[in-house]
Amino acid sequence: MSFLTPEILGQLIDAHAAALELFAAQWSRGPADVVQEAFVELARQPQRPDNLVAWLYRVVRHRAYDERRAESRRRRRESVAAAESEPYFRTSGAGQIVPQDATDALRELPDDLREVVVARIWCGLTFDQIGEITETSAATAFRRHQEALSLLRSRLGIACLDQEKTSKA
Amino acid sequence: MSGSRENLEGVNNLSDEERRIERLLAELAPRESRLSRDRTMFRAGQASGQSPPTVPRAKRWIWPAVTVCSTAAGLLAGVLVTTPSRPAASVVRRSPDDALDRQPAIAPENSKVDAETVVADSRALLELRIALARRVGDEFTLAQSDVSASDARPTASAPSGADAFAPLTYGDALGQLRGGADKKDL
Repeated sequence: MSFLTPEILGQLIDAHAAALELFAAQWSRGPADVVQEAFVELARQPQRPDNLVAWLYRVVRHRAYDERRAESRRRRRESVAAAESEPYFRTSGAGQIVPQDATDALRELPDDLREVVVARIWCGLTFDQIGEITETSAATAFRRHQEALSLLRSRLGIACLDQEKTSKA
Repeated sequence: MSGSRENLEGVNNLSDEERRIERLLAELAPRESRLSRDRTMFRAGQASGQSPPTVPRAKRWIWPAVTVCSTAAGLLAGVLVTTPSRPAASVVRRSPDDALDRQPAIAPENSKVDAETVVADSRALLELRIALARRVGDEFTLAQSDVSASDARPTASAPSGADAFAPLTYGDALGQLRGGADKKDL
């Protein structure tokens, strides 16, 4: 019998589904399916995993990786191009960064840097959890995050604090 | 774990600049989930009713057992290949004529020598056998060729062919030996 009651599952879906889909979208063309499979796999577990959220991200990552490998074998270029044009973010945001630009900048990042920055900023994971999911140390995850932020800043054209101060003055 | 995490977060502090970039990026919200909540709940309910897939105990041991067996077989083959083996015994087919030039080891099967015939390999051995035969008083026969061969050099009158293996009593053999010794003395 599973530990997962409908109430717990509903809470998990509400809290993490969107972030998990964003995380899976880095590799998968059908992130919603990947996330659904991860929840179904969670329901099969006889005991609650130690770190439930990290477990979900790890399963999603493995499944999305597998799907990307299968996808590259099939070489369905048309569907790949269509999926890659979809932005990761809501377009209605009133933020300083254009969602499509952020999506493009993220897609240009190497896999190992992108997964860390996505997990940290939009999934809200700690570096310990990210290290566990990506099978590296927390220190490595932190270093990759810094590197990713630096690359995103240059690609999105975000001005430095010093430059902003001088321009305001 | 939370203590170590806090410690790590304290050590690995991001700079103000990096925090600002994080904040700007965090303003972007992930797009709406396309996950079908009802379908996920239904499938999760189905899956929770099933027992987790377990591998039978016997099946779990198949691959390790195969690996161990093949490794052992490989090691055994390696040991057998690397260990020096004894040289294979060479079988030399000799004609009766050759027996005159060389010291015979085994009498040919189709020769007239019977099963009791003793073949001497050298002169010393021949003499020893003769002495033993005398002491025991046994009927003792020798192949003539052996007597000739033990003399080191074949004589012109030495029998050839199948006759070279004709049985010889020890008295005759001794006579031939003494004759050979007399020739040497001369």
